[in-house]
Amino acid sequence: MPTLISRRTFIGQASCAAVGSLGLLSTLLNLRMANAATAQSLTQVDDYRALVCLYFGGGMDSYNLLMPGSGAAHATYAATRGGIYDAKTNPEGLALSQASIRALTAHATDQFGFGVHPRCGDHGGAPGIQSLYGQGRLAFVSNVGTLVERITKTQFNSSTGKLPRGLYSHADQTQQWHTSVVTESTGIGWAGLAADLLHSGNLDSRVSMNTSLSGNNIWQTGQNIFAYSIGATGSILPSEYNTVTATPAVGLNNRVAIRTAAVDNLLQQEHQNLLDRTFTQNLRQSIDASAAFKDAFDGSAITTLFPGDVGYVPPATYTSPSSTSTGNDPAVNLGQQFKAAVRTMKIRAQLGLRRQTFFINYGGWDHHDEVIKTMDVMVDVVNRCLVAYWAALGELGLQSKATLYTASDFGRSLTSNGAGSDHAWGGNAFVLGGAVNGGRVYGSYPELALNGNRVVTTRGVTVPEVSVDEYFAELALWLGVPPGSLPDVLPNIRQFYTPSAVGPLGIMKA
Amino acid sequence: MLTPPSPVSTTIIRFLPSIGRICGLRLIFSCFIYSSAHAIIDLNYNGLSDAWELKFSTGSLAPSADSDGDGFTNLQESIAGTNPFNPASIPAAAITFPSAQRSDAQWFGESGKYYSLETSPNLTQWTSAVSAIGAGGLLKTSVATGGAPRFFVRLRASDLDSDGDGLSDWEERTLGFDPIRVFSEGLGNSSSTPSVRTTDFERVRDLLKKTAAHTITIATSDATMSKDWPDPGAVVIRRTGRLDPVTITFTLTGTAVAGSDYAPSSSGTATIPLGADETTVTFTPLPRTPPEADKTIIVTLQPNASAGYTLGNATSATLTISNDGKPAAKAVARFLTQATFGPVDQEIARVRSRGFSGWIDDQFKREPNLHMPIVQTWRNEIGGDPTPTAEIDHRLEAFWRQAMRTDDASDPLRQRIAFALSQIFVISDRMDSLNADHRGMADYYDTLLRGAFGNYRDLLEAVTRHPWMGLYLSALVNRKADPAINRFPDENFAREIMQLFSIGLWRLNPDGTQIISNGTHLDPDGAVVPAGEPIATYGQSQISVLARIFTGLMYGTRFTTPTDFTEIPVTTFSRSNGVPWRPMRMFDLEHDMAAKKLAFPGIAPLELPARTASVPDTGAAGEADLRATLDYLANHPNVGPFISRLLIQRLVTSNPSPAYIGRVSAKFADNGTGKRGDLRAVIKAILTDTEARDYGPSKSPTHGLLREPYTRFVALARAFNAAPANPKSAGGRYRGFGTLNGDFLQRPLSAPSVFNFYSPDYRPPGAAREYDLFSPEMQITNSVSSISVPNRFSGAFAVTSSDANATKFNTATQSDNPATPDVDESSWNTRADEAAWLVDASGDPDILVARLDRTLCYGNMSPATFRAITRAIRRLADPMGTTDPAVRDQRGRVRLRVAAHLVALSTDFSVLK
Repeated sequence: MPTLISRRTFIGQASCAAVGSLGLLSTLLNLRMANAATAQSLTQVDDYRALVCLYFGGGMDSYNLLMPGSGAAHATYAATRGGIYDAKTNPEGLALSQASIRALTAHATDQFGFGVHPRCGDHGGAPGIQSLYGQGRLAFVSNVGTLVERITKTQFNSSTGKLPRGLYSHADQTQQWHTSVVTESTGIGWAGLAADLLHSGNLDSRVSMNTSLSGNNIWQTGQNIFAYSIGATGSILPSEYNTVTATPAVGLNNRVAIRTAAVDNLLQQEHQNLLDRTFTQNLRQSIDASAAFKDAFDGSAITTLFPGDVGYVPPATYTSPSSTSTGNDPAVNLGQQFKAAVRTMKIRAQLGLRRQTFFINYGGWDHHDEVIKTMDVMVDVVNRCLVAYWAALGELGLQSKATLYTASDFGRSLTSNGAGSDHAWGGNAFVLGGAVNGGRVYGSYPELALNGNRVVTTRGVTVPEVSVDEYFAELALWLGVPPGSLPDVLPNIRQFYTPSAVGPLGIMKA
Repeated sequence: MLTPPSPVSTTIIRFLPSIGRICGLRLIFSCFIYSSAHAIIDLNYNGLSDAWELKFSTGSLAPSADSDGDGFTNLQESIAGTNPFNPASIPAAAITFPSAQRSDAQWFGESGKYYSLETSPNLTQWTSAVSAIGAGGLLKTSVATGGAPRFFVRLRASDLDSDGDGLSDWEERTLGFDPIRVFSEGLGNSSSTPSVRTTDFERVRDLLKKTAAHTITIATSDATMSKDWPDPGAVVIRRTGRLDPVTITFTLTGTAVAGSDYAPSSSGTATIPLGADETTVTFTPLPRTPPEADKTIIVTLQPNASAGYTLGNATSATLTISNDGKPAAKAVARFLTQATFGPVDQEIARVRSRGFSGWIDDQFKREPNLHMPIVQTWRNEIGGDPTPTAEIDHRLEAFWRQAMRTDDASDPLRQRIAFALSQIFVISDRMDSLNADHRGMADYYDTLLRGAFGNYRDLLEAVTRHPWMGLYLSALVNRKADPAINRFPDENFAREIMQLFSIGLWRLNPDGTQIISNGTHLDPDGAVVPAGEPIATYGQSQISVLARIFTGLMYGTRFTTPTDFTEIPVTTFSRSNGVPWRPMRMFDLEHDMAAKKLAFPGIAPLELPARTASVPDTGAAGEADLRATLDYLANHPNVGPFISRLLIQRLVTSNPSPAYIGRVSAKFADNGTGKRGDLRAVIKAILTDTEARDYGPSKSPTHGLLREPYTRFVALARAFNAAPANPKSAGGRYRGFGTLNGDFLQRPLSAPSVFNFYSPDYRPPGAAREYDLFSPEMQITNSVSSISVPNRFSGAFAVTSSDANATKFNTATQSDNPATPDVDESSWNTRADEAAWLVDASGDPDILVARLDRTLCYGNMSPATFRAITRAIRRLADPMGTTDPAVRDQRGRVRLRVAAHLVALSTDFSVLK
């Protein structure tokens, strides 16, 4: 019976193409045909791969996530950041002490004795960021950012290098981290473009391979494929609406059947007004996708406990926000989003999906103020959610089939504005998964002195060494985008890398 | 589950070459194959679908004949769904080979037919390359040939029976049924627990068997028209008993004259098409003549035995054209949907008596109905909160009480404008420090209410000085630089006041379009912008200067101690015990005293001299910098078009024309008496503009906006006069409304970031993006919220076993027992005033839905929506079918709730046009 849904979806899309201005090829026809070559590269049956984007909305101060730990380098870091933070003696300092940061297992390329934020430890005996790095499951990418072209400090200072549009602006930089396109404003993201290429490799799926836990987003919006949003509890259906899969038993509440018919009739109308049409298409597709998704998801259980689950024990040091009236414990919100993502991975076969992306946004990193105190809570939230995520993947045997990467609007200024830091440029990110060549820091971690060779302006802005294009290329290739199609997904990639089967940074295992 | 009837015909495969030609070295060969339906309805056992026979009025045709001589037999045409009497209607694909690598195919996809495009290297092995389902439009695709020298393409057409009910999808679509449901219309009777239901197949079969005449009735679906507003009135002509088309004759009488008073969509006859059970005739009022008495149009059905119908009970319908010289009620309701949280009868009457402009002027004179006093008194009402703070519920209670007001002292325009402003000058209780005391939030909202009808410059200063804005964008306690310890001013507020509150990112023309460089324009750093590119308004250097200017801000008033709430002035640069609702002040101690130059490209720079700190520290130097800077910002030429567009998007349309923005921004620049920044002039210009008021623009495919989830909900609440069911004290409590944000992704002053709930430049996937349209509100309309929002509306009209008489506006599982109102305040419900609707809800569904149309859709409901909802309501138990008044009321309430939910879910209500 579920295939019936896909037919209606098909009808809807064919209809849309038939009357729309796009004209030539109807959406799914186009997809199935144009991507035959791509599909061939995905012929093996059990080769599931999932890519998770953990987005830190607001611009994480990631030089306090990954920082130099060895003597001289740490001293430089501390000096630039206004000294070691101390609530009483130096409340304006932004540096964390050598004693408090957690040392990472040294790697041969490591010149700085890297450490990570104090809240990156294990939890409940399960590995956190620090240990996952030590186990080779997690890699950092340092000083990564949006670039038009590679640019030196000299070029920046003499205004002879091209800069991304809207540098330092949340809206522009967020968009560019979703699209990799830094020269213009586009609403098409690289996971969306990848899905345009890869979706045909999925097996007759009714649900988009791009699943969002955080609503509409640019990253997952393609020309033809866009995100299917779910909540922490999965998908929902209209009140008193009878799905096709439900048996229309005699004696079933008459009102339900009548409402269902009326809703379907309302959504069948053709509209001249384009907002009417958009609204109606959206609701119809949402209902159909949710009908296909809901039963499988509701039956998908995992035993690993996430923050918010009954029986989950947070660390003793953690105090959830005091205001119960909003009930917004970020650990619970983020944890339950991760849990929903893993539960969705578990039902990949029922959904007919061999490739998936997940978008999880954790906002609130715009720390112009109280960066030390707030990050202490927020990094802990992230770390504990990742502990549970990794354990849940282990429960399902998916650790090598799911790769998580982080992104954020920008790094923040190395210098203090009093108790916080301001918008800057390059920053540090990490990648987690069994397919990751972990345990090392990729890119070239900058020297953090204000006169360092990648540090510009009096505020301490780092000019990125690694472009987002290179970073994303690693992930897109792993997901299955053929090297020849990489420029279709990351339009500016050739500026930094000649596409081949070997990724530009070597983060991902072959 | 019922077993679908057995297929009535067997599978037939036909193979028929239709097009073949040689192209280069490749042999081109294409053909059309037909597979007959697994299930078609064929009561006369001739292998041809009865629905197809009805659609083309074939009478008795020989399946093997080719009636139109187009090369396809009647059987083949029936399988393909094409017209057997039209040689141009043929089931063939045009197949071309535009290159050695590709073959293109194009054909007309009949609704519900399944097509498979097959390819072969040798005419024996065929592989399906593409499949598609027709939707009544052209289908086009292409296949890769791989450069093969011989490549064959053929198209196969067949029927689907997706729901397995014995009717093919094509038949169901042709007859107006739902191809994926066995019971397209729900149940076939009006009992609430039926034991028998009729499948689509059974209904069609029974209708096809009928040979008696159609029975025809008429009703009005939209009885009111006005010469002031060319929205048409409408009647619905319905039939029962048959499926085949029927043409009905009617006469037009009454005091109105066709051609001078109105134009009918058809005069004399109307046809109900195949499968449909009704048709709509509309009457468009013709332009205004001098005021006169109402005129009527009386539509009377005429018997016509030869046309095969007889008349039922209702044979005439009357419509009224008003021409009293006042704005049409429909136009006024639409205006109030833009200008307020939703039309109510009292307000419609006020606008009609004053006129649009006069009503706006009257609103301008009204005192603001503030939120903070309610937050303060409400804490006392519920028994006193020992802490001196307020929570989200307190603030939202104030919001709802003021938003719901309809009394003579209400200020609906101001309340609505403040809500729009709250999405431009954004602060959010999602930040813990703001959430900690909602008195700061409520007072910030009051700042917007007070400033809504003032001057932009004053509003900008009030917002800038508000301590909750100071907390939100960290302008509070922003200290001057100390390079020795690498401390620099906070840039947060400096950036956002430019990007979001005043001038935006790009230099604008007065009509809101971007200024495009001609090759000599300079960017904010003084470099030339290449020709053809837009020009940034500011860059990092401007942000740095502005950040210096905003140093030194601190609470202006503090509580004496944490327990003594006597307010005293702040005299040192300390945030202790700051009062969240008193403006911030400057301290020269922490203000950057050096000279500053703020230079925006395209306008003269602002030069701020080096200043001397005041002693004692009154902040005089900082204040001088602050005021001069706000003057400078407010005078930037971008402000008018930038702010005008944002306000138009909140109130009228997501995609205003440049001319519209230009007209409004001209009023921003000069209100008519030489004053700049007069928000009254701006608001009036927005709401009285031809693009907002005229009928013609409202019908443009690009006009309008998706109403915000929150404003839709308030509109519903207002329409049904929702009120607390158990007032503990005067005014009661709008319990449960505070939790709406989870479903709506929206709540006043609770955006995820300073960028509001959505971007003004959001382009949603789908039709809007194809046509390059903005629809900000679609950004929070995803596959969860698009369903959870109407569900919340459904919950508001929930019908459960325990609430026979209550319409609950909150969905939490709460008791509804009026006997225990004080035991647990969580049991208080907010209820709609259903009594005011019961007479209409108990009577003719046409009357009920027409009233909902007037109330919620300003008379703009489409005939198809009207039809879908009235059909549903008619199938619910008929209140007039019982003599028990209690049962009658209950049935009426059920009808009202279902109808209101369906209207709330419809695009007619959701999209404001």
